[in-house]
Amino acid sequence: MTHASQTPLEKITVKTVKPTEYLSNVHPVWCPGCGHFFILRALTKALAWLKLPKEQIGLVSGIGCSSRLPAYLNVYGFHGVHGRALALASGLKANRPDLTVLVAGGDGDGYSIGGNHFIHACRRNMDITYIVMDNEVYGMTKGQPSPTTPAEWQSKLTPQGTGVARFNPMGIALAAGASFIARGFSGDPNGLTKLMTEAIQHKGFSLIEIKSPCVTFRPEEKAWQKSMRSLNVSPSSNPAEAAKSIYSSDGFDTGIFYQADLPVYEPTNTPCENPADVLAEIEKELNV
Amino acid sequence: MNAMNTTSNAHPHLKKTHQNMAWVLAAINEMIEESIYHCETFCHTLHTHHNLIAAKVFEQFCPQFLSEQALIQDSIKTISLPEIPPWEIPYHDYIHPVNALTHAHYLMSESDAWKLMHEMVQVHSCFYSYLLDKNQQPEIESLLKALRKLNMECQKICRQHQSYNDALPDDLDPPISQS
Repeated sequence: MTHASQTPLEKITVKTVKPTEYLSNVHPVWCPGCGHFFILRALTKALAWLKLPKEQIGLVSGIGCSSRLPAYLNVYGFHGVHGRALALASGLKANRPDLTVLVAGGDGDGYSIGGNHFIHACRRNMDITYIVMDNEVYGMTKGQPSPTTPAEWQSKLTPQGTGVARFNPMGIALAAGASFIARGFSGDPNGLTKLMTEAIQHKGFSLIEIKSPCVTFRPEEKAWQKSMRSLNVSPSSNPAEAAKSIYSSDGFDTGIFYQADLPVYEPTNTPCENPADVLAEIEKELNV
Repeated sequence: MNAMNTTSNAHPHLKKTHQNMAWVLAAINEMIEESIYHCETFCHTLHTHHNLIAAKVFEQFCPQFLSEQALIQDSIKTISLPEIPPWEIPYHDYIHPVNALTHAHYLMSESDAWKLMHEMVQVHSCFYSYLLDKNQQPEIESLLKALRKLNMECQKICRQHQSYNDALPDDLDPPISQS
């Protein structure tokens, strides 16, 4: 795989593929108006543009509204446990480096319960694309504050607001060693499709932080549509410059903030030939 | 219609090949496919959320988009359409058809659903008008005129229904008020 910065959006020409070919026969049931619908569509369009064979894609998720994604796609999918999607995906990529490994989840799943996995997935910089559908709330459990919820947002659980500074996923990804960091918006289907295409083509850990309004529990997020705008600077490969862009952004800029050619962790140890025998031996030694 | 600001001069995904017949057909086809896909998807999810009234609007309207698609497919015949990168936008003020759907809600009324449909139909209308303004070849011009005629009928249907039924459906699973 080549870096998008070197050969932009290189296509594998086989035959025309329609985005709907990547859909399963399970139809999405997110709330009408939810940004996740448009993210699903953008993802299938990116996969179709890249003409990736369905059997060469592994999509792993955790728990939450966004984590329903594997059910809706006709690719290999794993709906894992809460916050552990990146750990599962890392194992998958280590054993099947030939697969295009995608991970989908939300802000609660990825940045709270899965926060530790997020940091170390960035640090390892394995060739994985992490799609975070960030609606700044736990939607599936009816609207509790998540790590990206603004400190002043009031709810029954937090009548005075959380009073806690928001998690900055892009800043943390940069500090932890991710090599592709972008922000997208579900209400910008064209721009989002391009970001996804570039993230999938990037060699290394790609984070796409997608602002995706929760119209049911955070209806005020519909106003994001008016505030979001395209980033007016080119992606930087300089962490200091990228940090400046990330920290000076008000959260409404979309585009690639950072893209660099960093060492990718690719375990060279092949799986043992008889794993069952090896496991039995270990169990015997441990008297299990 | 509120939309993300994608109209700056520096927009990275602007395409200006509106004089190329195959591109015009492909771009229209792409827009209609988007509308059909989302119409069907929203119809399903509204059913799931027990809003049968709004779901029926999407279900009823889908054949209108299919009629537009049929006109296009008649014109395509043996023309090999180019693959348009899915991030390209055809002109500066283009608003994606799904933009209207970001205002949807599981409890929307029948009237609200017709308003959304109207907004989607207007996106088609704007694109056809834009292309007609660009002095197309005769065969494309007649197609665009036919599409615009059909589209105007769709707009009429939407307008007629917009004040039809403003009653909100019962909320069978109300969210707990959080603020």
